[in-house]
Amino acid sequence: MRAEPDQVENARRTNAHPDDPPPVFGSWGRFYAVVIANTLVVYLLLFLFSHFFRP
Amino acid sequence: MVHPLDWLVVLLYFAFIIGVGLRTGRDNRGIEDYFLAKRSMPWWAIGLSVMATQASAITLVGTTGQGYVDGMRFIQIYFGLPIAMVILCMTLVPFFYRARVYTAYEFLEQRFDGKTRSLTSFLFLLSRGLSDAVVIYAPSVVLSIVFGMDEKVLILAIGLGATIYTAFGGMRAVMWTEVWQMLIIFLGMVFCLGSVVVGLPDSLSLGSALRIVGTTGRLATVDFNPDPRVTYTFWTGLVGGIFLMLSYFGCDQSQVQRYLTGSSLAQSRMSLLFNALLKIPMQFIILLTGAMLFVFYQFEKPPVVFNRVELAKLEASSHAGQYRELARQYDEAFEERRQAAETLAAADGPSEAIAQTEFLAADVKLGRARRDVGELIAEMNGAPFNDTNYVFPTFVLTYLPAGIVGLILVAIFAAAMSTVESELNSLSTATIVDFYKRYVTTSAPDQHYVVAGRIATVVWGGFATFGALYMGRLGSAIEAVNRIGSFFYGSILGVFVLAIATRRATGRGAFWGLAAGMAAVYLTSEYSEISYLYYNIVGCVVVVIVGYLISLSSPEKRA
Repeated sequence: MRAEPDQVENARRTNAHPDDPPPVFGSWGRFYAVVIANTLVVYLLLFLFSHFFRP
Repeated sequence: MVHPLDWLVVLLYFAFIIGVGLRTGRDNRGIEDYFLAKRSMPWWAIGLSVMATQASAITLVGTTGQGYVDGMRFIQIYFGLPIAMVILCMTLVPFFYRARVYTAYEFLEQRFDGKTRSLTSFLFLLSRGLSDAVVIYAPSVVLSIVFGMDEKVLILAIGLGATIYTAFGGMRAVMWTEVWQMLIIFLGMVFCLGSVVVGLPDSLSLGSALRIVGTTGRLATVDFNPDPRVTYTFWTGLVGGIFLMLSYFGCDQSQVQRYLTGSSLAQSRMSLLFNALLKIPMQFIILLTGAMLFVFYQFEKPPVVFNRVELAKLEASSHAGQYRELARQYDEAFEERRQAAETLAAADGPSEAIAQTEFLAADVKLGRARRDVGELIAEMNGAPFNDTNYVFPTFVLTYLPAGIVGLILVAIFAAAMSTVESELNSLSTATIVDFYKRYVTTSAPDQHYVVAGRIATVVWGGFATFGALYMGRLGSAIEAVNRIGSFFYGSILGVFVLAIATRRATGRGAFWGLAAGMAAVYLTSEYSEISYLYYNIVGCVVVVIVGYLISLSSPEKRA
């Protein structure tokens, strides 16, 4: 599927100035993936906590 | 009453924090220095500052009380936060950073027009200007009742204390004081949880304590109930929470201004991801403190209600006879529940289920007596009664040693002041950058705007402090405006979505889309029962659809 012209324009504007990489994990994409994975683990731990001490 | 040692700790805190504010903010040479700390802040300082801004005193005492009264399900409201932070890092933050703006709303003029910028900035000033008074007033009332302090002195200490160094030092002073305040809050939280756990009977293991509180359902932190009318569920917290956090962190100047101070885009992003990782664990600790307090009060008799001033009024009222009877029932119920808790703590295997049932029955009986006294107070006052915010401070004053009480008091002051100073600084920035510099004095030396910023901070600080002093009389009016304020959070987010996600949207579309979004949220709140967390989705979606359609049909030149 072809990108809409506005999406192309926004992508161009956002990428106009290359960003510094994060200090850890190599790229921002990988960093975001780690944050999301960590969040899922937190949800899981909270679920187990709830389950273990349920009434 | 507060011990002199605790007063000394509080005085040292005020001297230290005002000193840090004045020292770090002494080198303001221009507008970028004063409002954005010369865009030089490291990510960890921004991250701590963001957390401190969000953690008000009522967050600290109210959330602990929530854990005691209602349990830990409140934590689900933060489930959308980490995902919202990632979305912001990928979308709005790069746009703000590269646009080199001072306020989030300035970006809207670059993209749309002046009236969209002015309207969104005005809505921010209206809601934050009034909420600042609440942020000062609410903890002052609680501390004055529990600790017997003068409410007006507390309001002046918090309001004027924060105004002094914020006006003088600008953003750099605000952020470096917030770094210290957040560290004090962290320390206070650890002491709070530690104090409650240490206060439990020696014979009670941590596992047994968790089992007792778990029996009442207070440790339920994940609820998959799909009903959109219920606020504290996984789905409402995740979906509604994402939009709430996107609106707050993406469109509220008091938050946006923090990450605009980053020395690079990477630093700004890191500060938000720092929050994404820490926020839920931090709330977990605060709520767990409240839940453990519930266990503590199985073995130490809690007051029937925690607001001692209201209790004294009740004892002196015509309801005194009814109260005495309820207090007698409460004492009996407490003794029964204490024994049931001891049995439950020692129970093992098949006897545990029986012990749990007996404990729950005793807890319901105690809760009923407490609720009846609360209803009696409500009847006496002709207004609803809630003592959630008084639970934790009452424990601190009653059971903790001198010195530690002072430390926790300081953590409460730090939480209040960190929120106030951020809001004052962002109110001043929006006033000067979006209105004064935009419409009144458009071209003046940098130093002129620094002076104007200081004056605006003092005016806003005075307004918030004065509002807090008269909150008792203005309460319902301020509450009404705050409620209206909640209508436009999601709608403003919709304007930003239009700004960055589509090229066809016009200023006219954004302006009328915003009006339509706010109207839609108002109608939703009046005519539906969905949780308020979903209001932001309604506002955002309506703004995007209406704004886009108007833009398509608008003869205005496209942006």
